[in-house]
Amino acid sequence: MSLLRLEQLSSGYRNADILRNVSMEIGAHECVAVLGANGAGKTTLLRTISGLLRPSRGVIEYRGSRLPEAPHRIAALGVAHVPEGRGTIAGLTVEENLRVGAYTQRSRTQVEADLAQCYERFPILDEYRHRPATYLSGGEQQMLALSRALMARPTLLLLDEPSFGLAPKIVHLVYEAIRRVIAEGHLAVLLVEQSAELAMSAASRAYVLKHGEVVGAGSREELRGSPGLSDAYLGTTGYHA
Amino acid sequence: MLEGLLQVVIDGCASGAIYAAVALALALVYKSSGIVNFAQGEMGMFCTFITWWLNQQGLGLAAAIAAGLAIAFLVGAMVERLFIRPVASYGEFPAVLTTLGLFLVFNELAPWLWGPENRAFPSLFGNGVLAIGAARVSAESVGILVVMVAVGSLFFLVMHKTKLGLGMRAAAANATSSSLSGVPAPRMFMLGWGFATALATLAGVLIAPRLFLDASLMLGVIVYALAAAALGGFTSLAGAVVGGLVIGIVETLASNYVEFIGSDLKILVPLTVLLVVLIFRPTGLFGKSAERAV
Amino acid sequence: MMNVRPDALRWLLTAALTAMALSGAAGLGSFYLGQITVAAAYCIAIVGLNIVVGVTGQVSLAQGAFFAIGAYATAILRVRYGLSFPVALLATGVVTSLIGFVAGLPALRLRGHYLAIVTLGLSVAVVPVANRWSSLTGGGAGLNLGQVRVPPWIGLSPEQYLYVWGVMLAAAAVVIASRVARSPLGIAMSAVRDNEIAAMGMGVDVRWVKTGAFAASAFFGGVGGGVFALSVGFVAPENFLPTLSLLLLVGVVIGGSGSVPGSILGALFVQFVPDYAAALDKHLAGVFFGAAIIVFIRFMPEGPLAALAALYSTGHRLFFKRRST
Repeated sequence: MSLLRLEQLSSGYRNADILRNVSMEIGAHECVAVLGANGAGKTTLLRTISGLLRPSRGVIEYRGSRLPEAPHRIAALGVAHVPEGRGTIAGLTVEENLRVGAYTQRSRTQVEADLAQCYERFPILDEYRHRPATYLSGGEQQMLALSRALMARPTLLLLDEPSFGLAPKIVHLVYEAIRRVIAEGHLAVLLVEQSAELAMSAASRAYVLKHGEVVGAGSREELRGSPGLSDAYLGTTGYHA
Repeated sequence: MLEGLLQVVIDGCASGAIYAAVALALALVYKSSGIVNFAQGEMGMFCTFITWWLNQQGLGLAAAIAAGLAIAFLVGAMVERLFIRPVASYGEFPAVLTTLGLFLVFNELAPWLWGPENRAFPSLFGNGVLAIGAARVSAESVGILVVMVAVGSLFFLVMHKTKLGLGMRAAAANATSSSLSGVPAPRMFMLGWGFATALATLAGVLIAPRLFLDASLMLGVIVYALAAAALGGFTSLAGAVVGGLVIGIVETLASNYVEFIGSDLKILVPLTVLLVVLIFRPTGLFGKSAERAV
Repeated sequence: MMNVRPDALRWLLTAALTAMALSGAAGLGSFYLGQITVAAAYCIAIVGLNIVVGVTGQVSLAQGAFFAIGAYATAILRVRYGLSFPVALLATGVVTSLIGFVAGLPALRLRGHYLAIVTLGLSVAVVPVANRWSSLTGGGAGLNLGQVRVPPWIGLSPEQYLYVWGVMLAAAAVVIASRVARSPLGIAMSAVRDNEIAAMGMGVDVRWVKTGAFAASAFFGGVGGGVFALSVGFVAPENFLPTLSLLLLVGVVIGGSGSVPGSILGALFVQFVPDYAAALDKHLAGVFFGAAIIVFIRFMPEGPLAALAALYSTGHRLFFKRRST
C-alpha cells in the first residue's frame, strides 16, 4: 500500500482551481519529485496535502485513510511541510524554532537527542542556537526549516523549492542533507523544484505538472527521453546540468 | 519632601502595575488574534463581579478570587471561540466593531444581573500603612505591586520556559508555520484570550477595593491600558508592562505635582504621552515596524 | 435581464423619502419632531463617519468628539455672536473640518488600531476639557441656546422649523456624500481602503486622501453636532460622553459600512432603538444593543441593504435560471 495516494485531486483559491484532477502515489521510502514551470501548481499541491488549502474535489489518502482537515492534525500524523519562503517563526530563537518542530513529540529524551543530531548535521545552527532565528541568512534559514520539519520525526516530508534564492554552494549543502536523510530510510519525500536536474539528484522518479495537471511521470531517463515533456521537465529557469 | 515623593512614586507604580496587567492582556490578545480587544476591561470587570458574588455567597476572599480567575479564563476562551474566531477573517474594522459590541454587552450585563449600585469590595491587604524610613506607604499599594510582580514573573516563566508558552508564542508569531509543526493554533488563541481575561480580572480585583465595584470600574483603566499597550508597541509583551508602569508613574506625578492638571485632566496625560511617542515612533516604543518598503 | 437604471432609482428614492419626511412636519407632534431632528443630526454625523470608515477604511472613534465640538461651536456662535442658522452651521463645519484636518495628520502615520486608540483619546478628552474650559464652554453647567426665533413669514412652530432644517440638511449630506463616493475622489478613497499599496501604485496620493477623508468626516460631524445643539437648545459635557462615538459607529454598521444612504437607517436605529429598548429594562437593552452589533457584523458585514441586495440577486438568478430550462 502506498503511503500517500492522490486521486483526481482538484484544489485552488476562491473560485479558480489551480490543480486539476491530479493523481499520484508515493511509497513509504521513496523520494518523488514534482516538476514543472512557475504556476504549474506545485506549491498548491503541497499546500493541499498539508491542509493549508482545502481541496475542491478528489481524494487524499494517507496510510489508507482520509486526512483530517486541520493542518496541525495532519502534522500530528507525520506529515511535515517545509513551505516556500522557509516559514521561519520570527520572534523565536533558532533553538525555539526547532523545539516548535518537536511539538508533537512526547519523549523529552528523544527530543534532546534529535536536537543534538540536528546541530551535528548543521553546525551553523548550533552556533546561533540562542539568537533570533531571523538573524540567519537565507540558506541557514532553509537548514533551520528542514531541521524543524525533521524534529517532528515525519513519515512524509514535503519540500517546496528548497533551493529557492540560494547560492549554489548552499544549495549543494542543503541537498547533501536531503540525500542523507533519504538514505537513512525513515521517510518518504515529496520534493518540489523548478530545476529538474537538481530534483533528480535526490529523487528516484518524478511527476510533471503543467497548468495544474499531471502531464507525465517516470524516472529521469524516461522523462528525458520523452520529447513532448522536455520543456515542462526543464522548467523556465533553474540549473541545467 | 522626599518621603512624599516616595509615596507618590509607589502609588504611581501600583497604578502602573494595574495598567500594566491590562496592557499585557491587550498585547497578548493582539499577538494571538491580531486585534485590539476594546472590551478587555469590561470582561475583567464582569468577572470581578462574579468574584464579588462568590465572596457574598460565603466563599473566602482568596478562594473567591481564585475561582473568579478560573472563570475569567473560561469566559475569555469562550468569547474567542464563539465571537472572535468567526470574524477574524473579515478584516480589521469588523473585528474592532465586534469587540466594541462585546464592550457594551459586558458593560450592561453586570448591572442587569447585579443591579447598578456601587459596592464595597474587600481588600486583600487591608487599610494599613507601612513605614519605609520616614515615608508612609499604603499597604495596598505595596500589596498590589508584590502581587503583580509575582504574577508577571509567573506569566513570563510560563511563556518562556514551558512548552505551552512556546506554542502560544509560536502561534501568535506565525500561525501557519506553527500549525505545520503540529501546534494547535486555534487552541493557542483561546488560551491567549483566557489568560488575558484572567489578567484583566486580577486587575479588577485589585483596584475594586479602592474604586468601589460598579459597571464603570474599568472604564478609566482601559484608556490607560490602551495607551500603555500602544506605547509598548502592541507586539511586545514586555513593552506593554513597561508602558503601563511609565504611564502610571507619569500620571500620578503629574496629577500630584502639576497644579494645572489636577485629578480631572489627568486622563489626558497618558493620551498626550502616547500621541507624542507615536509621532516619533508610529509603531510604539518597542513595536516592530509592520511597514514594508514598496 | 431586467435592468433598472440605478441612478434613476436612487434619485427617486431620495426625493420620495425627503418629501415624505418633510410632510411629517405637518402631521407629527412636537415631541416626535424633536426626536427626528436629533436623528437627522446623527444622520449627518454618521454620513461623515461613513466617509472615513466605510469608504476609506480607517477606524475612527473621534466622530463623537467632532459632534461635540460642532455642538459647542454652534452654541457659542449663536449665543455670543447671534449668528443665523446657515452662517453658524457653515462656520461650525469649517472649524471642525480644520480640526479634523489637523487630527487627520497623525492618521497618516498610524495603522488601524493605533488610529482607533488616538481617536478614542480625542473622544475621552471632550468631557474633561469641556468641564475645565468653562470660560468658553460654560463648564459643567453648559450653554443655553435659548428659544429659536422663527422668521415670521414662515408659518411654522419652532419644532417644525428645526425639523425642516434638520431633514433638509440630512438629505443634503446624504446626497453630497453619495456623489463624492461615486466621484473619482470617492473611487480613490475606496482604492485606499481595499489596498493601500496598490492605490499608491496607481498614483493615488494616499496622504491627501486620508487626511481629506478625516477633514470631511469632521465637517459632517460638526454640522451634525450643530443641528443637535439647535434642536435640543442646550449643550453640556454630559451629552458628549465617549460612548457617543461608539453609538455613531454602530449607526454606520447598522446602515452598512460604506453605504451612505444606509446612514439614514443607522441614525434612526441609534436614536430610537435604545430609548424604546430602555423602556423595557435599561441594562438588558444595552446587552441586546451590543449583541445586535455582534450579530450584524457577523452575518451582515456589509450592512442590511447589501444583504438584501445579495438576497435579491440570488433570488433573481434562481428565478431566471429556472425559466430558461
